[in-house]
Amino acid sequence: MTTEQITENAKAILLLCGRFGAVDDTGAQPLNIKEYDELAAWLLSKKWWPADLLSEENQGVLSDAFAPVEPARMKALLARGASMAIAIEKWFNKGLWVLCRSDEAYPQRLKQHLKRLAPPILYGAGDRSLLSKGGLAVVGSRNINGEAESFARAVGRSAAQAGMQLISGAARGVDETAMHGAFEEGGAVIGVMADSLLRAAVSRKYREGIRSGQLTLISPCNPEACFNVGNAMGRNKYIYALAEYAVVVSSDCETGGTWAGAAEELRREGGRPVFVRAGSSVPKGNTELLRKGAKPLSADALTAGLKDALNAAIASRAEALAVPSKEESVVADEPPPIAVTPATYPEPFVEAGASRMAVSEAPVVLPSSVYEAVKPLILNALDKPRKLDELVKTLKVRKTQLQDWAKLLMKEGIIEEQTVRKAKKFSIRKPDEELKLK
Amino acid sequence: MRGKATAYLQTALANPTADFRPGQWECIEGILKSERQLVVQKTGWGKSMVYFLGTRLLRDQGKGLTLLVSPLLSLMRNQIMAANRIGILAETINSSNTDDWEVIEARLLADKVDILLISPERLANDDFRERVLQKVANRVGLFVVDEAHCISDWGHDFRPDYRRIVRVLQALPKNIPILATTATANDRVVEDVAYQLGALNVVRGSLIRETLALQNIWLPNPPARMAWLAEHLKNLPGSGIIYTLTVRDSERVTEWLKANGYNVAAYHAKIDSEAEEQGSEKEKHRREHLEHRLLKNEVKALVATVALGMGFDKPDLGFVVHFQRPGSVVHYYQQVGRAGRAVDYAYGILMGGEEDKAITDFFIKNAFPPQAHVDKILGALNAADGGLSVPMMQKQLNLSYGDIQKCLKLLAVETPSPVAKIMSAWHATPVNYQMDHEKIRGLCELRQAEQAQMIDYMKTKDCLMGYLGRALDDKTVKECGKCVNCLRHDLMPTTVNTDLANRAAIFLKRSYQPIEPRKRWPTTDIFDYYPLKGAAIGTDIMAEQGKALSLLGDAGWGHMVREDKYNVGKFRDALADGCMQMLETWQPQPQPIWLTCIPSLTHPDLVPDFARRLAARIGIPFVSCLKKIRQNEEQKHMHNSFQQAKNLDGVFDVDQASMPSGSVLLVDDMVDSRWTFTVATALLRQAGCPAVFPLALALNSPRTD
Repeated sequence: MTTEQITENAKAILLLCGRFGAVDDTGAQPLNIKEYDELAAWLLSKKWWPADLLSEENQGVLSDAFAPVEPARMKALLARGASMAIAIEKWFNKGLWVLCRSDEAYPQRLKQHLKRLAPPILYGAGDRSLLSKGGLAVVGSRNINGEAESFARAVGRSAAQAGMQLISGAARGVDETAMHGAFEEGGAVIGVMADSLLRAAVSRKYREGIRSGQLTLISPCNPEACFNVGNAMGRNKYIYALAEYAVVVSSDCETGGTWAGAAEELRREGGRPVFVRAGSSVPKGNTELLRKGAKPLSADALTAGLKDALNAAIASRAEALAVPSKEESVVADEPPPIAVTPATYPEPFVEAGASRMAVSEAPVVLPSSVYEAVKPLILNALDKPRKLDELVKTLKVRKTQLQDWAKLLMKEGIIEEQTVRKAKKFSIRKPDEELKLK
Repeated sequence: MRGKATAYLQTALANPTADFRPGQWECIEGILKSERQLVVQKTGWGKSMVYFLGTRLLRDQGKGLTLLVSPLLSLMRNQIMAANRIGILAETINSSNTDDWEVIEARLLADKVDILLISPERLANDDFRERVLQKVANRVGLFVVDEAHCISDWGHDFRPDYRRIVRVLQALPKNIPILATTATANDRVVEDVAYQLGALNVVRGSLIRETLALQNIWLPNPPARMAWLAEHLKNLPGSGIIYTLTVRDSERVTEWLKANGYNVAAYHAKIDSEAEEQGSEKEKHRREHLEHRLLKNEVKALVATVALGMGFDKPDLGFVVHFQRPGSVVHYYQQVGRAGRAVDYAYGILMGGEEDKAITDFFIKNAFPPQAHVDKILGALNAADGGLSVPMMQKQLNLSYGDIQKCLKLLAVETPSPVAKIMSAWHATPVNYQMDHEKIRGLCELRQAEQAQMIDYMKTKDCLMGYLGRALDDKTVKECGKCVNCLRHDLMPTTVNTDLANRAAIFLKRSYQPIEPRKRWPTTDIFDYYPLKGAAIGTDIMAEQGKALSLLGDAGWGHMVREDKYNVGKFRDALADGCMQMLETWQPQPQPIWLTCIPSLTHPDLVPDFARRLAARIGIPFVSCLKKIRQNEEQKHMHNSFQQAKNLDGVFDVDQASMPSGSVLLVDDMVDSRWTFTVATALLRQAGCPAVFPLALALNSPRTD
């Protein structure tokens, strides 16, 4: 991919949603997925493409009373062209590529699985055709014991032997161990990163694999983004989306990204089948996920016949579902599956021949609780350590309500409270090992 | 809108009746319509007025600032005044004003600046992009690229940074207008730029400069041309530029003209780096200072290489003389076109000689790094875990600093690139890279064709300006009526004063080369065998300034040294006579009272034999107290300082018992990196010798610009 091949539509989407440079700009905040999606719907109602926002004669329409984004913010975002061009040139120079939802080559799996929550921009390095090949997702925590480690390695090896590519978060622990297993057997691997894609792509451990076509790294975040808990947790859904099956090697219970991602996937209608490492010494999260509907996977199944074993387990599970069991009632207490109406989300803007489809019945994606719904908003507001009063102001919420949510976030280990110059401030907690890397 | 623009133009020029030159308003209109334009107009047409007015009108509409990418160090004074009259404020950020960056940055972020001028090197510098540019670039209303011919690989001027600039331009969204400008581009370059930028409006004007009178003079040997300059330079009007093809020629012609009473100065790319090496802070911007002196007519001429080029604009330059023939018509037009911009009459004299072709061929051959260098560097980077700095590469690879830099620069501007610089270390990227040999071959062939055209131009009987115009695909050419061919008589004499020519020949023969002492080892504690520690070479073990009789292969002594060393196997007595003459003018103090030489195991007698004869002539004893105790690789196969110094570790030993006291003359046939002299001197000094003066028959330094 070269810089000439970026379409004007893709440029417009990048201008609206992208972040350029490691230093965050002090100007307007780029659109998040939901905001972009609202804008896309509005554009569609005017029979416009994103690139139409760049035309001189259309500038007046930005002030349309029905425009979902403040005109001043939109103008400021769209004026960032030079900054974007400089960033794109840098990314491409280092061997990265960019795909926007309007690009034909954007992976269909993400759109089909995530519908309107598919990221507007995807950054990557390596062979893009891997993104449409499905495979086996492997997730699990960063800190693992010997048993989990050999299991993770065996999952990687057997996936490669069974001809399935591996999809993981490319983090330390389970992810990397499984990736190595797959590499050893010559299998293909996709790593979904939440930060530092640019750095990872030039690292010794990855660059050879990328060069040979065995490894593709992608990220929905700015390639120069630093570690951020929200991004790290958010990427789990992309790992599931790119796969056909998923294996959880080790999960904490009721906390952490692995748990949240797996639980979300189990609730999702049409979610990927989730398998969990079974055995006598697995962490509590593993057994709890089984109770929520995941299927057990024992080390014995980790052979070249892994794919058949997974398919067989899915088939027998389907039969078992016909008879309600005691366990099912537990599942029933959980929030209902995420309701999504159309089977595939019709992308309004796809170039190269694809017809422009109308979003007739806008799909509604409901969070599982009000707390889950506001979580991203709170994290988003914590671009730097902030006092409770500041947050109350920006988020327009009662102080006591915000205190309750903040307590939950601290309990989950996502944020922390610090005293900065005698003032108590909340900030997003960075895991210790990430701090050491800086 | 045109009325408004005209009013601004009149205000800017402080001339109530001024109107646009043909094409100017159309360009401004294109900017307002967010178009992409390439403007090919000679210097002085008023390209800057186009983007000044474009900027003014865009700012009136509430748009962001104009980013101007140009090799200019700053806008010209009269340009700044014109801009200020219409309320346009311009700022420059470049490597020479780092102290001001913070203030300028604050002004930029407060939207107080209308035009920001940055150099192509800055735009291509990742560090600068991150620290400064990315923030500023969030509000850019117009993107201007000067010297846009550099965008084309097929242009005469290969500038790696422009390859990154063109990709930035490609990635710009259509709501930002692009104005690319150049004063020199033939059809091929225009087509290539248009192809790379896509949908581009091309505006072309006449390139003919009516005030310039051209003449070509063929004088095969250098002393004849030097004599011509010494005799006729004073008759050329005002001040000007003398272009040479090499740094060495720039230095020598300067020395010669100074010796003949002219106020001239050498100008080339090495001047700044030499000043930096000597660590003198005020000398750092010497080139800028020299340009300034020429602008103020404080020198008769700068004797310059191509390094005095883009960005230098002196409207009243009276002449441009070429001491050697440039490699292409475009180069020549660009250089000679610096004369006569705002004077009624100026000279363009092109002299050609027998060495021109060899020099140009050398440049063509060395424009691209060989595959082997690329392979070595990529191999080392691939094997490295956390990336490698250039000094680390020098340790691992036997490649010179210059070769490593050249290779990295070329690789880094490829997109996608196989290398990436992160902080100060270079990393391999996941990119599969293949050198495009087909393209390199094509470019070399093109360069040869350009040289052939230049040789043809030297001989043509047609109107010279007309020839240049046609070669540049200017459709408006007509006979100039001013050149030697139109007038059918010489503008300047083509004869040479024989006496002056003889003196020039002797001057060339006697151009002794200083051998400066090395002051630092390549790294700390580099040696395992010698007791020479640390990084600094202390004054207690340092050499005095030495001298080389000649430049290897040069007319005069240099030719004899090469002949005797490689074909005869014995240095002739005439060279000893030459050294005697050199010592007379040199007068090293404290006077050497004995003589020794660098020993060799492969040619055990060549240098000692000569040293013995030289010592006898001077009348001091020859003592071979310096011994070679271990065979090593030949120094000439070592390509960087680290390898060169390390290769000498444990090779020499001093026989302290036989060593006389007092200051010594240390003789060798050739000097290149100076490490052999440096190490031998350090050992002699440690053994108690009070002063060591290196003397070599020839300096062998690679030719560069």
